[in-house]
Amino acid sequence: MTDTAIPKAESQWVAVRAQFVKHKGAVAGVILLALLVAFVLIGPLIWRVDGTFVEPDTAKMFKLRNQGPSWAHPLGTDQLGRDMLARLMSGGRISLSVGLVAMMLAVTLGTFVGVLAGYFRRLDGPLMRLTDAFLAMPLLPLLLVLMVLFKDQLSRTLGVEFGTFLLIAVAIGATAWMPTARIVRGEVLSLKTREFVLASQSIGARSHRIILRHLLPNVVSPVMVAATLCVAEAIIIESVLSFLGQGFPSDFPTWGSLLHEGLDDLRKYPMRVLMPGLAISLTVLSVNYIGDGLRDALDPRIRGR
Amino acid sequence: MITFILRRLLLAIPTLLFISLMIFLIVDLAPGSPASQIPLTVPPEVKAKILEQMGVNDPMPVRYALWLRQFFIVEPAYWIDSLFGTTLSEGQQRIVSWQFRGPVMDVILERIPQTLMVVGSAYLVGVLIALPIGIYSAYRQYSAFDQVGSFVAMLGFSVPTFFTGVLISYIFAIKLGWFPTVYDTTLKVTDWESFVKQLRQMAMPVMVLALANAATISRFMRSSMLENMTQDYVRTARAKGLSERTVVLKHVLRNSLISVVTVIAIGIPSIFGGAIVTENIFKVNGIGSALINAINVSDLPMVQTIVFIFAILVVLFNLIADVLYGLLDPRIRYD
Repeated sequence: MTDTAIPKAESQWVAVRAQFVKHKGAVAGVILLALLVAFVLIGPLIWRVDGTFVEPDTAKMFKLRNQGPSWAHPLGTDQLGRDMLARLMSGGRISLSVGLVAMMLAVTLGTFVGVLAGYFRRLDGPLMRLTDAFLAMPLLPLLLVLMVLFKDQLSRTLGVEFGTFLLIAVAIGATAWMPTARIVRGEVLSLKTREFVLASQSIGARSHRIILRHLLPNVVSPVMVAATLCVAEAIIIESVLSFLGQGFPSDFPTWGSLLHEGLDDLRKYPMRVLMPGLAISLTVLSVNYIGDGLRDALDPRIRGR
Repeated sequence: MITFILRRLLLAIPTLLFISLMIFLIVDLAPGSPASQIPLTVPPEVKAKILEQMGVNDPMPVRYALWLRQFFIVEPAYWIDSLFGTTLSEGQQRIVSWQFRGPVMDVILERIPQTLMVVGSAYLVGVLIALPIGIYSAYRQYSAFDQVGSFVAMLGFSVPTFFTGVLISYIFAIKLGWFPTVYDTTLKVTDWESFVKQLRQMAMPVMVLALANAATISRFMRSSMLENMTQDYVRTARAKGLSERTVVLKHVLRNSLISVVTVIAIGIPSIFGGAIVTENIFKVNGIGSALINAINVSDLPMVQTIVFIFAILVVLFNLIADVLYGLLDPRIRYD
């Protein structure tokens, strides 16, 4: 027996966190994203001004228009005299939640397709051809067409806010699942041949049990990385749609539509374009850095070096 | 190789059919019949012709087949006719734009040169910037240059093009006044002066697109170089006394370029998507802005055609990338 102390066994996630914290960009990303989330979630509780409020008295409204920063409106007002700070907060709420919901849809769909294609050999060919076909689709033009054709109908039946939200989130989710599906398929294909799956098969476990108990927990890490990148992608796509005038109507500001509105007065009031643009860029930047850090932290070949 | 290309071409057909079906269905299943979407300004006889061409009263599969026929048979026939003076297409109804009341293809052919000019040169500039940056970043991994390069690349694919576009146009066109804010399509390059003018109006959109493209490509170049740098053949090359320059620029670079070339090829169609936004910001009169206009006035035939052309481009360049990969890398044999 040697006297060297055996290091205490660490769980995988402790090691992952230790590696993640080493990635400076990722840590900065987490802090920045936390600040942004606090801004849009806690901000409205402190700054209780309604961002959609338009002064009904026209004379007063005209005085309130296009103001610079002041105590009453720290970031000024827009062309209808609405408070920009409040609009940025509620805009961020919608932008971030579209990103999250679309990501969840895409990841669920992608994991589902990936597991099926990887596990059942008969489904592999057709499902992967479907993935390829989706990857070959020109997504931005198609999303624009979807918006134009279905927005009014859904707004009428489900209400403007919920209808548009649902359409955008579902449309983005339905067109962003392919990378996840490919990653999951690859992982499942290699996991399927490992001994623990064979062992489980030989004691008579059924497919759904093997998938749920043995395969899914093992694809969590690559899916997490794909999910982070998917959030960034979804936020960008939503803001592009709004930027091109096909996203949310102006009563429900998002960062993209705020930028779109600000464009008309770009010469005189550049801040109104700069602020939402910066918000989008910082969010996407921090999410991308987090994804980068996660990828390093979850990769056992890099971890612990 | 030929059999591989043929097989890939055959495989591309179902993919294209699937995409065309999706494009057709999205428009077809949209609320409101297509007939009600035709603007009232279209004269009745033209409207009747359009409706007949779409086969409004036929069941869905027939309408889909009619649309495919127009796209793949009638339009090429017109094209052949105009080239060789034949009369293949006489009496056939072409795909008609609802806003221009003329054939969709004429409008598209008119718009494509502007897009190719701006987008093409942007891609070229992007690649030319990206390759040296990627090579040097990999050669001096973790150096200050590499760190800055990584950060700029991260910015490049995090900051959306619509924001960089607006920012650049605010700084260079509005504040500094170096470049015009609106792209003048009527400008003909005849002499030095108009050439400079053309360069100036192209500068901003090219800058925006090149930055976005360079970010991705430089990262691919870097990781591909890094992968090759640790290979045995590199050690052998160094061991036999080749200069560092020869080792990096001849041995490593050539092998790293194999995968980068395919990435560059695959990226070409996606830049048309990016061009939609950039053309919108800088008011370039290209195919992307034609699409946005068509969407805004719900000119459905125009929208369907442009979207489908984008899809064909994607499939085509994926094919080209595959073939290139096989040609460049002798280890890959398809037969």
